[in-house]
Amino acid sequence: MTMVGWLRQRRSAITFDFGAAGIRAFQLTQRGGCTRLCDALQLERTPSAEADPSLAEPGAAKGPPALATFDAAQLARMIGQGRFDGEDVALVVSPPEAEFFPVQLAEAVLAQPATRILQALTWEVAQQSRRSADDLEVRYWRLPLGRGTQANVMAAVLPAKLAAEWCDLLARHRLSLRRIEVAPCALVRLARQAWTPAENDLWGVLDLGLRHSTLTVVVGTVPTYIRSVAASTRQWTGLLAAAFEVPYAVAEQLKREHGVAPTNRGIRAEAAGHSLLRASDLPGAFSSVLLEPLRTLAHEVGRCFGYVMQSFPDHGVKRLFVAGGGADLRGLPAILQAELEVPVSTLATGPDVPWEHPLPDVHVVPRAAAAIGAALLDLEAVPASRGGRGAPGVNLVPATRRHAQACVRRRVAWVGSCALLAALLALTWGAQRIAASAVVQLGNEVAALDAQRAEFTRRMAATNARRAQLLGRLQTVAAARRPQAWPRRLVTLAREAPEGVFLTGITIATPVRDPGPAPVQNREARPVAAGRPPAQRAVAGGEMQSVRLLGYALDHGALLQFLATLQRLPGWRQVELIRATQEPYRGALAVAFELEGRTQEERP
Amino acid sequence: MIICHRPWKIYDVDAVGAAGVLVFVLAAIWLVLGPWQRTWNSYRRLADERMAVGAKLRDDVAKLEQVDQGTKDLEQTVGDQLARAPNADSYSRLLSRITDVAKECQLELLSVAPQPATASGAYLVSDVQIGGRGRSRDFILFLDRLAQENPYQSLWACSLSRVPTATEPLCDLAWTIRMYLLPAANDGRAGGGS
Repeated sequence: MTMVGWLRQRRSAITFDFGAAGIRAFQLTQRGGCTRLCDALQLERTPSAEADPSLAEPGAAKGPPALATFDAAQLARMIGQGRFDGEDVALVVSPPEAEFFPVQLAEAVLAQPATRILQALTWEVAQQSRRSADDLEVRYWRLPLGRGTQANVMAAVLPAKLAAEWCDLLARHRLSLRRIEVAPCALVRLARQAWTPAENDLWGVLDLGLRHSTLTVVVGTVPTYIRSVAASTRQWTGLLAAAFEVPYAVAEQLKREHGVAPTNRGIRAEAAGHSLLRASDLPGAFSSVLLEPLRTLAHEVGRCFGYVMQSFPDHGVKRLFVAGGGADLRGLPAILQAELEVPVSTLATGPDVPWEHPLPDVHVVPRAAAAIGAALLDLEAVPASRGGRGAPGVNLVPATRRHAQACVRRRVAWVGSCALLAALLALTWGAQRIAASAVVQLGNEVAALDAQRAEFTRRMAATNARRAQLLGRLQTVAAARRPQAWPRRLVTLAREAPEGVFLTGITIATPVRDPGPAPVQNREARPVAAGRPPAQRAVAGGEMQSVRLLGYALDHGALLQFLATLQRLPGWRQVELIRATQEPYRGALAVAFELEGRTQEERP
Repeated sequence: MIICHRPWKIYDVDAVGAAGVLVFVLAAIWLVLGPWQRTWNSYRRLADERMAVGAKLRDDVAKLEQVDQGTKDLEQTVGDQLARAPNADSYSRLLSRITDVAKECQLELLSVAPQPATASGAYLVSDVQIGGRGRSRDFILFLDRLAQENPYQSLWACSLSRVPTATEPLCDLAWTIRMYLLPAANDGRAGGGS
């Protein structure tokens, strides 16, 4: 089972079986190989001889087929009342609406495309039924080749006009006729749920209706022989009503309640103190009344089996299923089994009849078997011709109508797809617009951040400018602060002066610009610089102050020591002895000297 | 109408529907996929840009706060320094203080001749020529006290002389003090700048 099979739920059409005794509607769903009931509806029609004159006399003329006169409005109401899904409807048809013709077609014809085969088959059927080919809706399935048989195709035929009318009737109520299935194929398909025949098994399905009965003889899984048999439950009820002189409806009720039972005694003799007939004796009494038609039915079925076995002598008759409303007659399978000496069972689920492939949720009763089988065929994913479990199904809906329905379905699907795409497109386009607007908003946020950052940059520049201004002011203030070297320098001079040296004068000239380690001739430039205003001379680069010291020394040694001391002192530069002469000083001779040096002043 | 039977049965509505779907697909490419791509690219670019700008902005904010704080400290320092530095308004008070310190140092002032202030760069300079008498030690003490009280001046020129035969240790003193003044507070040049 594929994953798609598990995920996808298949749904059959709402399959109707319009019978004379009642209407049955079934819809099945299938998911992952499990078939379940979607909804079912069964409406019984009370048999009444007064309402239906054809029921009064067993030999009266048959009325119109139930399906041919079905009420589409009633069908639409029934669908509305149920829990069915969708508007697709399938119909089950059986003789006399549908007819079956075994036809022999040349193998060359069968090798042609399906449309060609149908054309040839329609012409053949028209020849056999002496009707116009245009008025026939024909489908077919291949028949197994038997000994001495000529037919290799079974054609199922329905009047095209009738099928078209049904389509139109249902279309007026917004229903679509998706399938018209023939009852024999539907019953065979349902019977395949009950058991699995071998290729050489020969078996049958007897559809006992109120007005008509149809026997389908199946070879393997292929319905090979389909024939209407001269038996009907209406006939049996009529016989009972005549025999017991009771109304038809009472006879029908008695027949359903008590059924038939095989007996050799017939009607019991009168017993003292008891009524003439007890309820427990009714099946036997009914069996006596219906003995002849039941035997006739069994013989007819047996003859059909024998006829088919002539073509398939190697096959053995395995069993017979009884379906339709007549199969509800209690004791009927036993009588038929006794007559045919073949296992006979009703096509119904029950504790005593185990099915090989039971349908969960679906309670199969004989009178609903055709509807359920047709629903199964409609649900079938793989046709029987490709190995499916069921019998070959046919769909007698006119090809033009099917194509029109397919067109409508595809149009709806395409329109839905386009609408869905349009909705998705609109949705994604809207989402894209929202995203685009969000991106625009994001761009605005980025622009705002950029502007904010520009503002910060501007503030940073302003702050830096302010900082530079403050630094300038601080530098100005700091530049105005002067090193106060002279007090310390004078104290050092007084302390470091050696013994025997007396200073009598000190002259500190106004500062001049530091000439650096210039040659001696540059000294001539000093007066020029000194002649400038102080403010002009006080340029950056340090200033030199010329210091002239006057005094007396006791001897030249003391003077030289003083000179050496000055040259060592920090801040003193180019200390030179200008003059040293012997002069009297305080009554003695002393060396009068004059020293000139320079002191380094730090720049302002 | 069936326009193709095999390998698949195709009706005319299928062609029309497929064309419609194709139109929608093309419209989706044109209206949605293309703009989505552009929007996505713009979003990524702007998101990266916003992240980078945000990080830079945070750095700028932190740096600006730091610079602001430094500037405030600098302002405080400059304010303190300006409060201490003499200016043109306090010139007379400075002269008075000089004479007071000289007297306190036992110096006899014979003349005090302040010169007009002249601009020298960002500040004003004014030379004060002072003449007097006193001991050299007192003069050094005077210079030391003046240096401690007002570092915004310097000894510009000086002459100490004593008669060698004099018995008293008094010297003739003549010195010039150069005063460095900031412009007056109401002067437009207040604060100067580099």
